[in-house]
Amino acid sequence: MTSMRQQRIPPLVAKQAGSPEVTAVVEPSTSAGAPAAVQRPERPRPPLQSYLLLALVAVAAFAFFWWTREDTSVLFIPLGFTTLWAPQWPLIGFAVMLAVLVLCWLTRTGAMAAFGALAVVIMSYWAGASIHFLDRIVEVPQRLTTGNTRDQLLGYLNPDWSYLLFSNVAGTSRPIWGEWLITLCMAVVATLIGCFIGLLLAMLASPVSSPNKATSQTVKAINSVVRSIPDVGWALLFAAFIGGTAYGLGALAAVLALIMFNIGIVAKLLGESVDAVALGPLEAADAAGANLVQRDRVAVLPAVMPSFVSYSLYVFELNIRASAALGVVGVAGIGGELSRQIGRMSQGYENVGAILWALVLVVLLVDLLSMWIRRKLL
Amino acid sequence: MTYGYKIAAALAGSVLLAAGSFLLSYVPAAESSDVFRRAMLGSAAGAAVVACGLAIFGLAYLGTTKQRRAETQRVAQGREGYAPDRLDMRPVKPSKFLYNMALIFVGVVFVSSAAGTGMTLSALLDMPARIWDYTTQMVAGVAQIPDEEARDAWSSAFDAMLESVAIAWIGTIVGALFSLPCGILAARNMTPLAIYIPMRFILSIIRAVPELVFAVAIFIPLLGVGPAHMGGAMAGAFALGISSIGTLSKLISEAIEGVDPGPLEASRASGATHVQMIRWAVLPQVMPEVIAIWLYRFEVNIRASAILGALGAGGIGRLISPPNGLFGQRPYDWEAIGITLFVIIAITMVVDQVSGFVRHRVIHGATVRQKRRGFGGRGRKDTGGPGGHDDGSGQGGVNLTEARAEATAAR
Repeated sequence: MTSMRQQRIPPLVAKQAGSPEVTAVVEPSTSAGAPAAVQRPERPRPPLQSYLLLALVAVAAFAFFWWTREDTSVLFIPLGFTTLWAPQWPLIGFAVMLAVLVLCWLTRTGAMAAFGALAVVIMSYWAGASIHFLDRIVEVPQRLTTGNTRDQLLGYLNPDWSYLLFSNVAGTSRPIWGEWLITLCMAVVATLIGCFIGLLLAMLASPVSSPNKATSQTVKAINSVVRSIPDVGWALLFAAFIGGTAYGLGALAAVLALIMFNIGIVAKLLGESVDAVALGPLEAADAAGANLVQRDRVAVLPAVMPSFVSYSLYVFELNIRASAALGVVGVAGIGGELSRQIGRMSQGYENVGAILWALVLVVLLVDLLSMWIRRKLL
Repeated sequence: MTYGYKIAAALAGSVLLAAGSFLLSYVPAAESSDVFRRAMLGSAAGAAVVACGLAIFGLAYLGTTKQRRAETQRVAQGREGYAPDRLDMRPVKPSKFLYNMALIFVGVVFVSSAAGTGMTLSALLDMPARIWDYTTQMVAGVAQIPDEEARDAWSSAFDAMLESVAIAWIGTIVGALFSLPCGILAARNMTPLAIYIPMRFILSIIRAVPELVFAVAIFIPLLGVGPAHMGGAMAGAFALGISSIGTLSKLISEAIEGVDPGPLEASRASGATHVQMIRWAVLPQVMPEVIAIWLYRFEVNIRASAILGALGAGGIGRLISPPNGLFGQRPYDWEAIGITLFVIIAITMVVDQVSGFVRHRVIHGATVRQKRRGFGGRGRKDTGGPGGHDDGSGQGGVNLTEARAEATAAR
């Protein structure tokens, strides 16, 4: 290896040193005829050992996929004197992995990048296999052309607007538009409370503005736990904590769940804005003898206020979507009505279609509104 | 407009708001909708309180009229009036009247919405005891030596969570495949206006549609509903993928619009075609950032897949949400719920850490390490600027990308 490298380097150096005069002489002649082949330095080959290691990884993945496969289709490979067999999809996946490795080798990609490409292929194979990608994809044309699905998709195109505007929630005297109102109300309440708590937590979580290292690390850990639990999980948890059943619960569980959801987002994003705050005002406040609260109030808060407003508007929009979705697990709002209508979808798709179109419309309007406010304020 | 008129206008506005919402709570629409009536009454109450406050403030302001007039005359005659700000030569603070009124209005909206939701806050009184009770049960469930039942809970939670990760991964792959071309087509410096405008329009429509709508309206009928082998997981993955396209393309187009124009000019000057220019001048510059954006979206998708699961689109949401999930069984099995939540938290955090590490590695490369050069007890760096902050996790630049990603996702 080393001897080859040493042999290769001197001519390159010589060529580079001599190149100005060479090109100066050659250029006029090449403009008329075919361009002269200019020898450029090549990229060094990546080390072979690491590629062998990667091939080993591919083999291990192949073995794993063979071991855990669920379908039994088998590919036969005739070899003249004998016939080998192998499970079809793992073998194809293995071929793709090897092809990726060969391609990376030919383009002289570094070992880490090749490992990344291989990891993407392996992850995609695993994910695709565990959600039955191919089985479902091949069914799509059949579903599109026949029966129920086509009616359903067409049903969305002529939504029943009179249902949305004039009729009541089944079994009650509450109108449908009141459910939209309650969704909006939940989003407003949750945004205001959640963003305020999120601001406090962000201040505590950033080492710039928190009293000490221990506080900031603790708050960060709490925040990442809060963020990890999805909003549906929070809604169900609070429904149980309040002591009601999940169904017919009212808005409190949804509002509390949205508040937790907002705290997670705002504390994370704003914490980073606080981290990145300019150090000049901080030092000025320190030099003027401010204590921690005064320093945060004077030097940190004004600096992060624009991003706070921006994130709050973003969170409001997220809340509209999320509270529409949270209804699915049984809390109040339009989501509850949506899930009821999905449940009786066999009677017609016009009602669901109307709700979904209206949801798109409302989200679009809120988006425009928040864009307008942001432009006014910032 | 003088200050007095402003106060009068605000007072009139709040009185009008109170009266209007009070009247609105008696129209026929309010008869049918309890929510509307409550919200209007709440807004009337809030606006009435604001009106009272403004009235008191206005009266106090009126009371000082004589003094203010004397002051104005004295200043007009050229004599120095009493002005504390002259003493230390600081500028007078500008009036923030409109700003304060807007804040007060937000407060009224808050009161009105809180009334509208009809929350019964008395339910909060019992909550701490229940939280303590259930949390101890959950912790006991996680901490116990797993018996047969608990082992079932662990394995089903792991399976469902891994299914969520798979859904998020396929969703991200689908989004990534489409978002790079779409992002190039939506970047102003790469595309003529005739393609740029429709592309932007399509992308903003995709961003306006919630994932929920994609899942329910299109992909559940098309791909199936329920557990993975019934196609629910695929529906979730495709819903996430399609709705990722909007955000991803927007972010990628912004990254492309921010490239250094030098290499573009150089490639154009040496006669590159458009495709060659993208290949050799644009992609090498933006690829690290694009990969970071994709990975960030993967983390977002893991969280989003839970809510789709509640609709029957696979993953962890299906495991916990009623009617068939853990929260659908009548006496709650808190030990199993605790185990499931633990698995959710653990896997989400692990994926976040791995993805954060890869993003850091992709953006900063292997050799660059941020060293802490802090002074004093605070341990912060003495150089400012983006990425100059460091809290010891060493992911400054990545976190900024992330914050920008979230912020632009809103637009």
